Amino acid sequence: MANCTVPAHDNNSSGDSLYGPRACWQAFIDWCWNTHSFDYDSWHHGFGYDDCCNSDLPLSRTFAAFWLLNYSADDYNNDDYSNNMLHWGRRYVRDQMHDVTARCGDGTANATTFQSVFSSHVELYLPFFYQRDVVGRAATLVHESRHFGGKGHDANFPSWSAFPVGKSGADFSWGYQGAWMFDVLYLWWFYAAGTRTTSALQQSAKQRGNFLLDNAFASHPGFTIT
Amino acid sequence: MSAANVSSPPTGDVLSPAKSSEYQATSRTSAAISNYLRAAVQVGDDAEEDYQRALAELRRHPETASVELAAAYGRVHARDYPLRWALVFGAGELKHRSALAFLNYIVQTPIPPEPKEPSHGFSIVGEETILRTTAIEAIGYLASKGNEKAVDALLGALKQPSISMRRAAVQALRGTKQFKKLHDRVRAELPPDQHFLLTLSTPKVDRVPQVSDPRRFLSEQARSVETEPSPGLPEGVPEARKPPRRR
Repeated sequence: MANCTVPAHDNNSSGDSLYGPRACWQAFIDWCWNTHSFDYDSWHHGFGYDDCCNSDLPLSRTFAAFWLLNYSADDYNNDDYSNNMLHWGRRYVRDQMHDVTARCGDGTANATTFQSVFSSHVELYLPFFYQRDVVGRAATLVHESRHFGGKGHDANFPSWSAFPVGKSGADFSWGYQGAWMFDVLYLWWFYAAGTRTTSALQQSAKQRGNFLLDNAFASHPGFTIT
Repeated sequence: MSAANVSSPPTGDVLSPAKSSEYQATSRTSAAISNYLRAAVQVGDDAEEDYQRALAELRRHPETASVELAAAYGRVHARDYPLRWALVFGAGELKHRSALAFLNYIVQTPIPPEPKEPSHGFSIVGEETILRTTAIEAIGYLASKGNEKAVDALLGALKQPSISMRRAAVQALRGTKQFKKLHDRVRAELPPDQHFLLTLSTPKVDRVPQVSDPRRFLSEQARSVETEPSPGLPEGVPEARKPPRRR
């Protein structure tokens, strides 16, 4: 058991003052909680179970990310896998991600997916809740879902990367279709075609997508988002 | 569910509350900045109008707004990346030469090292880099309008050790009238293993390789279960109070 404190944050700029109230809707909360089988115990003790519409707390900020993921396509119900990722991203996460657990973390990760033969779960940490805006969190959910899908990272970060150079955690290429590709592709589609959002969050998605293109692939994909 | 129902000793982590650092208006221009930050996250029928109104208010006194944005940036907690980003983005939205000093200050400020090695995805260096690439793009707008100091700032950004900052600077310089003349100089500034930054393509998202048949990438367990889509969006203001009890 670890103890931590809610860090400094601003709900306007993170998008939580916009998405938090939207996600504060019983039918959605019930669906989200059950579909992703949130870990009951971990969301107590300050993480927001008793106050799930409070945008200052992790649970509301997590629901906000799921809301963005589920309703940012204009025709959000059309989530067939043959459509683009803005549409099927929500379905992929819905099909894959379960046992969503809240933790303090040690400040070095947003989230980690744990998998074994017997069980799997994802842990979300303070940087996910407070140092990412809502779209950054949604992209993290996509990223972790790819790990649930069985794909780990297969390469070391290249010499130019902002991530620890030479350490594992990169994807070799865009064509590997790993978690970083899923992450970037979702951000890119959100930037290009996201609805029910703001131009500021779309620009934020573009910046984050470009950062990952430059730094998270051992072989640079050769393109940039403009 | 009330706290009284869950009074057993915690089995998970414990998160203690703290006060939000929301930026407080302290002067007329600061109020304009607060209004702008609020308007930037609105949606709805009047959102764009409200945003443009808030932006116009900031742009009425761009010099003062630039100073206030810079001052607010200096007051924000270092790890409050969304707010720091919003202030940088706001400075760019001024689209005025008076923001150049603040934007260039961000670009030239060395990126702090990671306090601990990132383990999975979260990187202080990454978040700091995103602030700087956002500033570089904003400088790029001024450079594209012929501001020579902005062009110089972009050339200065090429000297930074971050590939993303160099990439953003190259892209911004490509949008200037001088780029043809500057091409060789830009190339000379880049490390040889990053010359490819000059040839990056800029496709639309539907022109890059997509995930072909994402179902292939579902786990066996996920393939065997049909999940229920999220509920249709309600009309009006929904009410919610609590998650369900135990599954």
